[in-house]
Order: sequence, then C-alpha cells, then structure tokens
Amino acid sequence: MDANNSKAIAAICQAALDKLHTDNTGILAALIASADGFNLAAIQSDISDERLAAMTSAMHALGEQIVKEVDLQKCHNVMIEAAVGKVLMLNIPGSKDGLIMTAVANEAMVFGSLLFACRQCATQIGEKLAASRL
Amino acid sequence: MAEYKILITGPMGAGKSTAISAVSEIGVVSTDVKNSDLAQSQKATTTVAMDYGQISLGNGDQLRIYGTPGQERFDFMWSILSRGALGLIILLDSTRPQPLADLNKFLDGFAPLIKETGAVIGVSNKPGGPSIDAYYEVLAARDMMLPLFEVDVRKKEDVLLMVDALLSVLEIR
Repeated sequence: MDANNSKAIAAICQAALDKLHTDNTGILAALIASADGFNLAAIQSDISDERLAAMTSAMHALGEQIVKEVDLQKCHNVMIEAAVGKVLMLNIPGSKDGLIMTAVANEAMVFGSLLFACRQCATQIGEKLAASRL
Repeated sequence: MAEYKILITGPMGAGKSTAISAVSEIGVVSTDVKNSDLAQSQKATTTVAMDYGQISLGNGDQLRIYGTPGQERFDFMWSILSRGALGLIILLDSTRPQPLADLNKFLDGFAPLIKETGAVIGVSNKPGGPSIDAYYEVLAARDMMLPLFEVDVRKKEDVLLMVDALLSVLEIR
C-alpha cells in the first residue's frame, strides 16, 4: 500500500470507527490493523494501539490457521470473552490488503450487539474502500 | 515417546520460516501475511504469529520446532512461544543493515530462555557483512559462549546441524 493510498484508507477507517464509538457507548476501544500488524486508525483510548494492532494480526492469523486445519474455509472473526468485557476481531470484507478490525467492549455490552455493530462498521468500511478502489 | 520443543528466532528476513520448511516432516503451520513494511524487508510475506514444524528424532521422540515473528512489535509472541521451550536457535542475516545489533537485540529479547536453557546461533554470511569474529566479539562482550555456525537455511543439513548442536548443548547442561 503506497503512502497516498494508506492515508486515504486511514481516513475512511477513522470516520467509520468514530461513528461506531459515538453510536455504541459500550465500546471502549477499537482499531483497524493491517494484516501484518500495523495500526491504521483507532478510537482514542488508554490502550496501546501499536501493541493491540500487532496482537490483532497474530490472533487473526492463528484463527485463519485453525479454520484451515478443521476445514471450515475462512475465518470471519475471533471472539474473546473476558472477566469484565469482550474483544472482537473481525476481517474487513473485501479489503484488498486484508485489514482487520478489533473492538473492545465493556461487560454491559452483549456479544450480539457488539457483533452486529462491528459487522455493520466493517461492511461499511469495505464498501467505501471498494468504491474508492483502495 | 517424548516430545521436545525448540524455538527459532531472528530478525525479519533471516530465514526462520525457510529453515523450518527445510527440515519439517509435516506440512508447516505458517501464519504468513502480506508484508507492508518494505523498509524493513523486501519480502512479499511475513510471519505474524508463529511457524510450526516437526522432526522425528529416530528413537520415537519428536522435536517440535516453533518459529517466532522477527519484528519487535510481536514480542508478546516471543514470551508466549518461549514457554516450555528447551532451547533457542537465533538466525542472523549478514546483509541486514546492523546484524551485530540484531544479535544483541535477540540475546536481550530471549535472555530468560537462554539463561534457563541454551542457544545456538546461525549466520547467513554473505560478502560485505561483518566477519564471523565480530559475532564472537559480541558474545564475548556479554561473557557468553554459544555455538555459532555459518549456515544456508535453505539446506536441510545446515538446519539439522544447528538442531544437533542445540540438543548437544542441552545435554551438557
């Protein structure tokens, strides 16, 4: 991805993440990472975007390998349920560079809502990237 | 039947995935994705979680070989993969900008594992890079004595040489 494309992709991702955050008070943090673990856009939070982006890429790659191992074709998302919250990692459909989104939610937000909100956000990002041929 | 785990690490592009592919008797589990950091390495893909391969040791024992990602932003995988490992192979590439600094970085990054177990070093040494003595000097400055080999990680026998050396080091300890 060249520098201009990278800026345009980051702008589309940032706008979508900001909307996701405004619409869902239970989402504490969210970011979009490249397949190789670089942070492209993030909601402001106390969490280290750089580390979480690298972890997102590693976790998603492991998810892909597990799916391949058990012959389930393609990994769509990885869900983690924790003591006081949840983490969802999902791929951005149609993104040429295999972008991945991670969202961290508090314990009040149920998984269904998190999944619905994040899928909608990821689909919108994918459509905007496709429309801009990015 | 016993199972042993060893780890291969080193900077991006040093040949960790290639080394595991060269010796593994099973299809390698790899987590390679498209590399967008062309300043670090011109490689098309890079490992973001781990590589995994297996070798049978002849007596029924199995050796599991795990490869780490090379970039420091994946250092959380270094500690995860270090758990239960019997030893470490550090691969270096003399054509990288600072191969001696790379050696120091991985000696630091895996210091607890090296202290508890053992390590060997494999250098892909091409003209223009530091002499082999320079790598030994880095080790001497840290008061470390580790086996060091010039290797071509595409060659099965070179990778097996490092594995054998590592197992010998571990037997002595």
